[in-house]
This record gives sequence, structure tokens and C-alpha cells, in this order.
Amino acid sequence: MLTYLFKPFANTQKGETKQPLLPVILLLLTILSVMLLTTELAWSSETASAVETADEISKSIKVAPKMGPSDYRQIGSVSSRAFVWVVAQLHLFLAAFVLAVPLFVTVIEWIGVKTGDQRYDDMAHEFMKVSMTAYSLTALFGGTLALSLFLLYPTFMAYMMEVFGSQVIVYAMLFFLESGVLYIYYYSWYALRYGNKKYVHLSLGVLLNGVGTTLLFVANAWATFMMAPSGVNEAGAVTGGIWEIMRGPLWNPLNLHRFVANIAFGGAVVGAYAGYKMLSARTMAQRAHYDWMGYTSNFIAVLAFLPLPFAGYWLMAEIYAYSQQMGITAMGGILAWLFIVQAVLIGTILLAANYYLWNGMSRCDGSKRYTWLIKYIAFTLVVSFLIWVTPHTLILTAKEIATLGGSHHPLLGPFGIMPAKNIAVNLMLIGTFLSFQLYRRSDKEITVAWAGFGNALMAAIYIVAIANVIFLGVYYGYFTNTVYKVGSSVAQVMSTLIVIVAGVTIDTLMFKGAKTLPVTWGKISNRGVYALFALPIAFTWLMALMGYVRSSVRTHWHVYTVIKDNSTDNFIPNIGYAANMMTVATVAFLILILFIFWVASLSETKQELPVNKNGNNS
Amino acid sequence: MKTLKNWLLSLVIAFAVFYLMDHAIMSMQGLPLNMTMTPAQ
Repeated sequence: MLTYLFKPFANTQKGETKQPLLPVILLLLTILSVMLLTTELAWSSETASAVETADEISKSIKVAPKMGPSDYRQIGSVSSRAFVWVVAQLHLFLAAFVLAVPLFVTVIEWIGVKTGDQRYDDMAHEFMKVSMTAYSLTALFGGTLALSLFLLYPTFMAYMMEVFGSQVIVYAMLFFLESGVLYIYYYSWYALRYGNKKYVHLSLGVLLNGVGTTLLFVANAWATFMMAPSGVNEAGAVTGGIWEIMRGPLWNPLNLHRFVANIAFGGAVVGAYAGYKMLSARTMAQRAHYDWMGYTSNFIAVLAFLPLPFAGYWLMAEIYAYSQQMGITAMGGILAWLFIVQAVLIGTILLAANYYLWNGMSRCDGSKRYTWLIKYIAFTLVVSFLIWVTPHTLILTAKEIATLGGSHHPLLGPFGIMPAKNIAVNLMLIGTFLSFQLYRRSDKEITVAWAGFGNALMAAIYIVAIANVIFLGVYYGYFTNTVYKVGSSVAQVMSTLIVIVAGVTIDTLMFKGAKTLPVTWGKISNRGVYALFALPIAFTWLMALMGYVRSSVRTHWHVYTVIKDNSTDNFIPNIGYAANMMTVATVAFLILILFIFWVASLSETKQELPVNKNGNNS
Repeated sequence: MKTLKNWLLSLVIAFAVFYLMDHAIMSMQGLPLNMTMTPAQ
């Protein structure tokens, strides 16, 4: 499937077909070691507990602290919450980026080996170069965050250390391992480039991703413990092993959501790097190279982004299942308005990604066969976007309510509830996949005998899927009871997934023996390249926004229902304040990213040998 | 004629796939449907 997805750039000359078993073995070993380590910690804790007497147990169990004013500290007049908020957000942005890049870099490197095309290898190496600059900044912000937390929230952090115990050391060890493997992976790139040595290098990539993903999952356990604690009793005393504490009800949904979102975010950021390099390219060859790099980045970002709403849906469903109150706080209370902002940002991402694809179609004359469809996709995207951003309840004055005839608009009101938004989101995703599919077909002339049937089947799947999404949303959403309304949204999601899976499968089969039409890389307009900058900006803001929502659902609790937040900041701030905080973090990250791009480009700059007064090189 | 056949066959296949999928997904959630797609009681 991946070869299918990247094929336009593939050199048809195949290399040797040795299967890289080593990467798989190393990945399995990494996962196994981490599992054994965590299980061992849990076993040792359980075994120790078993031999203790009842008195000893009662002495050893420490309940959660009751926090008072003396448990909080502040630096001058700076709000501790505001300070930690920005530092944590910046650390998360950078960490998401540096954990995501090696994931797709290893895949691109593997495609380079499989196709024998060196360009993949060069591109993968360049992606890593950008990521390396960001790595040290990630560690710096991580260290600052840890110190800030221990300094400003000492009692709370003491409790967290009590709960997680040695697991924190495991995290530190993983971080050392991640750093070591990362440096070896990057700096051995050219030393381990060909033959069997390349498989050793690929194995290092797999190991790096195994460690990085485990690191992410370990840190996620801290966040999900604060939202939905497990392995402790009502008083906060530890009653279970570390494994029980980690595997709370929200751990796996958050793991999946962050894993997929990180890839989309990482793809978008390196896309901006490619756009920046393309616009500043001095030769057509450079422009073509960075155009291809920008396309690949956009492709990674969109591919990871398409399943993201479904991962988010699972996370929210689990939040509701854990605590209805928490779910309602998120989607029905003050935070509900932020989901409208989320819709604006996701709409921006989808519009920008589609705009980039439509502009990119100008690289190939074969695209003229499909350009007539763009206006319909654009219309669907814009209408769906407008439905998605329509709020359910409006903030109105008494006079406005009287004029309107109620708190809900008579015509637009129905667009404010979830069934309308489910239809809109699914249609936007289907439209985006159609843009992607048209782009993929632009440089192909299909030659298989059953092309007519294949095209008709693909078109029929689109037509029936769109009809099904609208039918399920309208009929079950407005004319049956709530339980069917919620249940039918799963079938809507499946309709979208069927379109995506069928599209990839049918195209893979139809492209066999297809004639490839010429593609001119670098031909895309500068306007199209600007879309590559819109993506990371919207992604960054979106992460800041939804990260805030995820954290705020705890309301006035540090650890939900276990430790009350008794600081001066134990309330959900108003939307304007929260938006300003997110914006500060987003702008700060974008400045850091510009710095990272500049540093990455600096390594390519070579100073000319100075010329002395006599005109000779000195 | 061949084009018409392709289209009819494709629409029948697509309709059948989505119809069965709707029934399957709703039943898996304990929300069975009648043949008319109305909620079964």
C-alpha cells in the first residue's frame, strides 16, 4: 500500500528483495523489554504487598494530600498556572514533532531501499536534519517543565512521584536510550547506506521509533491518571501495581490520538520547511526537489489527519463512559464553544490541504481531465465548513432573542447540533479524499481492460456513501431517538472509511500497467506553496486548543475526584483568556520553528575563501 | 449498453455493501433495524 501511495516518485528499477527481519525483531524486543520492565515493577510491588501484615499495609498506604495555600508557590506576580501552561505546551509541540519525524522518515528510508531510488534516502535524511535541531530544544523545555512543576507544585508532584514511583526512572532511562539511538541513527546515515549495512540502519530507525513511542505512552499515563485515576482508592491511596495505575480508561484512546496527531503535525511542520526552502530556491533543480518534498509532507499530514477525527471520537466516547459530567463539561458546558473554534481550525486545515492538491495538479497536463470536479468539491467543503461552525446556542441580548423568536435560529438552529456536524465532517473528509484520488490519477493513463467498470464502481461508491452519510445523519439524527442518533454516527464513519479503503484498493489494481504521464516538479504556483504554511499554523493552534480542553475537563481537580485544586487558579478561565494563552504558545512555537529552519539551513551555507588586496585567496 | 451495465452493476454492489454495513453496525451496537431501515423494537 505504501509503495502505491508514494509511487509517482518511485524509480521502477527494483533493488534486491531481501526482507528486513532485523527491524521487526528489534521492535519486538524493545516493546517486550518495556512490558517486562513495567510488569516487573508491578509484580515486585504486588509481591511486597502480599507479605506485609495488615498493620504494615495501613501504615504504608499514603492517601492523597489535602492541598492548601502553602502547597503552592509563585514566582513574583507571574501566575504559576500560566507559566506551566506555556512551558508544557511548548514542550508538547516540540516533543510531538521530534517523535513523529523519525516515524515517517524510517518508512521513507525503507521505500528508498525497496525502490532503489536515492532521492527517498536524501529526503529522509533532510527531514531528520530538521528534527535534530528541534530535539535539543525539546529536552530544554522538558527540563524547564519538570523543574517548574517541582518548584511551583511541590506537594502535588510529591504525590505523583509516590504514585508512579520507579516508572519515572523508566521514563528517564527511555529518554537516555532515545537520545543515544537518535544520534547514532542520524550520524550513521552515510556510514550505513548500502547493502546489508542499510538494514542495520533501518533497524536503528525501528528501534528509535519503538523507544520514542514507548516514551510517549509512558508520559501519556501521567496525563490520563490526572483525568481518570486508576490503581488508587477514593482517598488517593495506591491500591494497585504500576500497570494498573497506567492502564486507566483513557490511556489507550489518548495513546492512539496523540500518536496519529503527532504524525499529522510532524508532516505539516516539515511541509512548511519544504515550502520555505522552495520559495527561497535559486535553481529549478532545488525548486523541484523541495516541491516534491512539500508534496510528500502534505501527503503524510493529510493521510494521518483523515483518521484523526475517529480517534478523537473514541477518546471523547471513553471520557463520556468514564464520567458523563466530564463529557458534558467538555462538549456541553463552557468548553463547548471551543469546539466551534476547533471546527474553524480543522476546516482551515482541510481547505488548505485541498487547495494545495488542486494547485499541485498543475504539475501534470493529465490533470485537465479532472479539474471540472474541483468546483463541486470546493462547494461541498465550504457548505460543510459553514454547517460545522454554526453554533447551537447563541449569546444574545433579550432584544435579540425577541427578534429571533427564541434562543435558537429557526432556520440555522438545526445545523447547530451533532447530526448536522457529523454529516459535514464526513463529507469534508470524503471530499478531501476525492481531491487526493484525483491528484493521484492525474499522471496516469489507465490501461486495464476493466477500467470502465472500475471507474463506475468507484463513482458508485462515492455516490452511495454520500447518500448514506446524509440519510443516517438526517433520519436518525432528527427523526428517531438519541440512542439511534449516536449509534448511526458509527455507520457514518464506516461509510467514509469504506470510500478511503475502496479508493486505495481499486486504484492499486487499476494502476497496474498504467501509462505514466510526465510530471513537472517545481511547476506549482507560489500561492499553492503558501498553503503549506497555513497547515502547521492551524495544526499548532488546534493542538494548543484541544490540549487545553483535554486538560480543563478536570475543572477544579488536580487528579479528578482525588486531589482538589485549591490554588488561586482553580477555575476554568474565560474563553478570551484561554485563547490568548494558546496564541502566546502558538506564536512562540512558530518563532522557534523559524529558528529551527534557519539553523537547519545554516549547515548548508559555506563561506567563500576571502580574497586579499592582491586578488589572491588568503 | 456496456456502460449502462457497468453503472447498474456498480450501483447495485455499492448499495448492497452500504445497506448491509448499516444493518451490521447498528446491530453490533444493540440497535437492530427493520428491513425498511427504521428502528426495530
